[in-house]
Amino acid sequence: MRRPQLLTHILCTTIVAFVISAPPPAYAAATITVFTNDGATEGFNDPTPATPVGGNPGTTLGQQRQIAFLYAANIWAKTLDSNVEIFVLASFDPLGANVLGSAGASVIVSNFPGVGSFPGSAFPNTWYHSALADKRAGVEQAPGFFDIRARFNTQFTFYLGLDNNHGPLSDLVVVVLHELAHGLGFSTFVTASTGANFAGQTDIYSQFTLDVADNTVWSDYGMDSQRAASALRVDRLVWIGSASLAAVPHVLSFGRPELAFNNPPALGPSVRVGTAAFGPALTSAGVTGHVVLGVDSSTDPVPPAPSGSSRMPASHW
Amino acid sequence: MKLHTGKARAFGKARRDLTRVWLLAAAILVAGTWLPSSLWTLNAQPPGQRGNAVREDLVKKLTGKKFRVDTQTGRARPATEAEARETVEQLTTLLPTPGAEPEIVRRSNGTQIANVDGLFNRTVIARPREDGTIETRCVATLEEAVAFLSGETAADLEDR
Repeated sequence: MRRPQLLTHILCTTIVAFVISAPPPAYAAATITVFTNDGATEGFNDPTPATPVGGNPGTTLGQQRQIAFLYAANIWAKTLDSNVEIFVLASFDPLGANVLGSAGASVIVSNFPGVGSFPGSAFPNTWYHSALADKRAGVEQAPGFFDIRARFNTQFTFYLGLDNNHGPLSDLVVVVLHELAHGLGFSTFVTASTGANFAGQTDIYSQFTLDVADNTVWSDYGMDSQRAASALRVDRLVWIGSASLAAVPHVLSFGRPELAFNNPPALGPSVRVGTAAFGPALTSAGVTGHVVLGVDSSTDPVPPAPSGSSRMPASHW
Repeated sequence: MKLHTGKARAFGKARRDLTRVWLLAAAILVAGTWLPSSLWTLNAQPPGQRGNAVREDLVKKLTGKKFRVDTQTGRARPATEAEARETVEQLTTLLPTPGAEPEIVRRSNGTQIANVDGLFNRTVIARPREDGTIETRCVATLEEAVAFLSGETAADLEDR
């Protein structure tokens, strides 16, 4: 299906354009412009009355969605550093049960030069999300196209406050922050099931995706099957961007908890476990004790209690 | 933060045409290269219009799994086959289509551009826990979404 109507369609439809300009740049700033093609009485324009919540002063459901979305986009605008405007097309639509929202890059670019002092693409034959490509090129690479397309679900009840006090609900600000990140650059264009690159070129995300099992970044795998196998190695894939590596010691705990069975040995090798929300934190020294299966009914048979030890092994880094 | 509303109503056909011409001219000026007209008709199919067949194996896998919420009790309940099918259909429209090949425009300076609108989307989905609260996951593939909704864990994935 050809889509010459993309730009036309957007201009023909009722448009609300929100321009989010960060304050004058101190160390970083970008401008994010959000468009919506929602109708006059739906999605971002839903007139259903709403009570202001958690610092969101909107008095209709649509207003609250707008304010929460823009709040999240503004966080990115203040965090990023780009002299090229970032365009987002966002909408609220019925997406069915179990879905919160969906987003990604609209356009991808490779082998682009920079203008002036802008460096252009850092790697040859590597796809970039257009917002990132624009930043590195210093100029818009695909005029007339959105950088990011985002859809959220009208059938899902989000918390629309701005204060992170979401309780058991999903916080729209957090979900939008997360989804916009995918559109900005935090996503690969590799087909996960086959490991195939898009159109025979790797992508910028894969240049920084390291499989610690074989110490290889995804862009260096010679065969698609290697990437496909790597994609299934849970807890072996890490991001090696310099900013993330610098932040790791401050935000993550090293290692992962495992449960090893001392007796009976027939229970097999160690298994992955989560840490408890009670008691002292698990340390690398670990703890040893009996494991008992909890049962709901006194009539249920209780299996023999194996003994085992749980530990936090040293990091695989 | 500035808020602009109601701009679109001012755009008639003539103004749309003028805008298109202006954008094309700006593109040529800014990019410094000739922009092929085909850029305006890159043929990525948007989500919801791809017409993919529903994966019956995934419908079967989801049927009976507790990913729907009982409106009376607020607790997780098994999904019917119709609900499983509806969910697979919906997720198929939102998640990437393996093997899709949108057109790639190659500029004279070597730059390549592809309109991949929707082809590499990530989608956040939710499943109810037994206590009525929800658990969310951002997924990249239909298989990953169905695995999550059917209750599989990361350890299950690794054990395959």
